[in-house]
Amino acid sequence: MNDIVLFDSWAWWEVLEETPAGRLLAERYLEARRVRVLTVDYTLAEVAAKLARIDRAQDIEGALDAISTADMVPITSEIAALAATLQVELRKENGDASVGDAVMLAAARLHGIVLISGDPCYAGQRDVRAS
Amino acid sequence: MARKAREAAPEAEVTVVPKRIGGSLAVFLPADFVRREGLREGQPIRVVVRAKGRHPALGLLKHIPYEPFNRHELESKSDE
Repeated sequence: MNDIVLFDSWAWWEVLEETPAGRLLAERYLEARRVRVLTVDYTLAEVAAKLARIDRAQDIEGALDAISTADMVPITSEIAALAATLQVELRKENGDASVGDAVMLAAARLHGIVLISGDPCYAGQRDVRAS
Repeated sequence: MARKAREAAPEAEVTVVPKRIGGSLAVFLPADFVRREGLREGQPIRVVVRAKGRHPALGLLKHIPYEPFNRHELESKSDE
């Protein structure tokens, strides 16, 4: 049976920048034959926004094309509803936890898979890992 | 009455090395896989190609000075 994981923007950014963590993520998941990588569609907007913010708008198209090689997960009403309660839960541990953080975690939980992220707001979550 | 071929399970997977014939690549499925999955000549099968290699995202933005992705900073009003 194939492994399935969900990459958030943190994970993609590490890969795009080819950091040591990003190289490991690429090898372990993106380039592995039996692993399927999912990504919430909102991730595309986040990465594009980050590039625009650092004056690298010219890199947006290429980055989004590369991320789009993953299987896109749309934000469904189920994901949105779970995210709403998860944000409240995440904020008990980290006051900075955003709706975006909760959406990523909700998407992973509804698929029963691990979220790949190094975002500190997920500290202590059983189904999130950074590598 | 002809025996009905068993339908291949959707997860059936085999790794093969393609052989170049002219400008094409021919894929030969091993006999034991063909037997096990009940495949028959003329029966359509779906081929999903996933060549192992460097992922196109890896290092694409390496030229940009590194700072980790921070969703909270991105969503804040300030550029601090």
